[in-house]
Amino acid sequence: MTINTIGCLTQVANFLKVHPGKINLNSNSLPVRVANNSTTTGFIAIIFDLLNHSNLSLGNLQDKAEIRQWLEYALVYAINCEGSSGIQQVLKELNAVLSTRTYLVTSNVSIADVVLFYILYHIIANLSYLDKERYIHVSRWYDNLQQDANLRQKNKIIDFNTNYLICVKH
Amino acid sequence: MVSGTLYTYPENFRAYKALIAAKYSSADIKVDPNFVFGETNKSDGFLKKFPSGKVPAFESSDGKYLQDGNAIAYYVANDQLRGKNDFEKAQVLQWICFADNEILPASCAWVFPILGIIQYDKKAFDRSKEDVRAALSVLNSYLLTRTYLVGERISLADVSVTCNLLLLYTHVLEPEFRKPFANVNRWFNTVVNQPNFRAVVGEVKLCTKAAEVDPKKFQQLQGAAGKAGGKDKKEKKEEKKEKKQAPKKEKEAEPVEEMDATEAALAAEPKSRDPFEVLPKGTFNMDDYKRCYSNEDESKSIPYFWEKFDPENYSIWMGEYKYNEELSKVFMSCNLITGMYQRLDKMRKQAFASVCLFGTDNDSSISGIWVWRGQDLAFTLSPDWQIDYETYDWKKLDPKSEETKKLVEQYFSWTGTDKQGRKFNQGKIFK
Repeated sequence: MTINTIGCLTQVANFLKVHPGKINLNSNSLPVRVANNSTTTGFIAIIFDLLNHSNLSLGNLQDKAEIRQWLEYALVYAINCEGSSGIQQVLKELNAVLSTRTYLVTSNVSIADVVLFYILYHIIANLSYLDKERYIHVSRWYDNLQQDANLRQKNKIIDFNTNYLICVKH
Repeated sequence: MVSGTLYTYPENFRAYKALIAAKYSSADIKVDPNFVFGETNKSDGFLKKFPSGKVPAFESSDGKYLQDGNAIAYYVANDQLRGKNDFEKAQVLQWICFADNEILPASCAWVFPILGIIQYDKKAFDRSKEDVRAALSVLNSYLLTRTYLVGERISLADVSVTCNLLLLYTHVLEPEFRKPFANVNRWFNTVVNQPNFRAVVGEVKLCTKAAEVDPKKFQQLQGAAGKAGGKDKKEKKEEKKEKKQAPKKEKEAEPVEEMDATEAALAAEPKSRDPFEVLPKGTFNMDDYKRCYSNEDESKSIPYFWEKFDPENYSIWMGEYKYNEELSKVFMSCNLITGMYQRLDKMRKQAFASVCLFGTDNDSSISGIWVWRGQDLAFTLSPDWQIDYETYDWKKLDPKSEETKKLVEQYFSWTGTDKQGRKFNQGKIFK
């Protein structure tokens, strides 16, 4: 499964209320952003470029490091995950992390949550109810994030309103 | 926007609710810096505004009065905290009631005996743990699928329930106990780390090992509460003021401050006041010994004394009145002894004495055996204790010598004669 990198970056830009500029894929399939006569290449570099033009704070040094770690995770594992086993692996890992945390970094929504929110949108939207149950912590996290209209943008609300009748052994 | 003054003692988890809500709504709420617990809230002016005399209490700038932390929090909050619609508002109310009815009683029954605020009762204590477990189980299954208690944002429900869980999480919910409640732990950590929460409460350190009940603490606190007389009022006031100035420091040093109302003020007192505090506690329990002395015959209590006595940290002294030749009537001499005892009131907790009058009118002497914590003359520890002691000659006794044993036996059982052979007349016990 390939994920629309350009679409994701554009949504991040909209969320940060920064003009996305022109984002394209170059011959190596790397995203390139051209804005204000400057060119930025690479997924993470573009996100930090956008962040620099926004007024979103990244927190202290440790928070910044953790955010970078998650962006790298998003790029290496989430965007390029192959096949359903790859997806399941990412969901499993996220589920484990989110069982003890409300958000990925710090106690509030950070850019790490935002980026993964856009990357995972289609994956989560297509999950079966059984899988939403199995990855209950991911579901709770995602449901919480999508209630913010500014974050959700034009994406449809994903239904998590199941009766939780299915018991899954974790 | 709401603005006004909040009356409370420092670090009151009930007042936290209002202060946190005010952070969210940017309401301008000041805590009255001159508030003295037990005085301000007992004054006529205060009672006129707030008849129950309880805190937290709130006076708005436009002259409205409110009591109860939850009510004040609701008033000073914003719409996000109160709930978006009627149903959410009802849910918020539901969780506030849950916090006060299901969590708080169990929390108090568990934590207050540990803090020495209420007497330890094994049955109630053990039951409280099960009640806490039950309340946490309810929360845990509710929070499995939810990030916050009501809606998808922080509300007063989260603030109230978290504040009522604070004492539990910081004092007794050790990792093993809280492990099954992963969803509650996650939610609790998220709430206490919200910037608006931290701004009021500071960093919340989760309990690493459950605190145990220390029966002595209760006795100390209650003993102090009983004796805190009128003349101490002024000192108490000063002490409280100091506390206000350094609330941060207080927090680390004194968990007792998080306790309930009245006791908080009283509890703070003996701790900082007891001059014996600087000396090591040792193994000799003064209270136990005094109880034994009062209830048992000397044939039992004196062997008990030698069995329990801790020569490392306690010492035995002989005090002899310097001006025996000036003593006239027996009753006047006895008043001399009891007067001294009264002036040494604060020493009682860590000292014991039997002072005896020998002889008859116009031919008598006063001497006594004293036991106290520490190896040096105890009277120098506090300026309050230095009125009488210079009228006595003090001699430290060797607890190992036979002579001391004889003296102790003689004075504790009120027998024998003084050095000049005068017969025992009367004895007074300092305990």
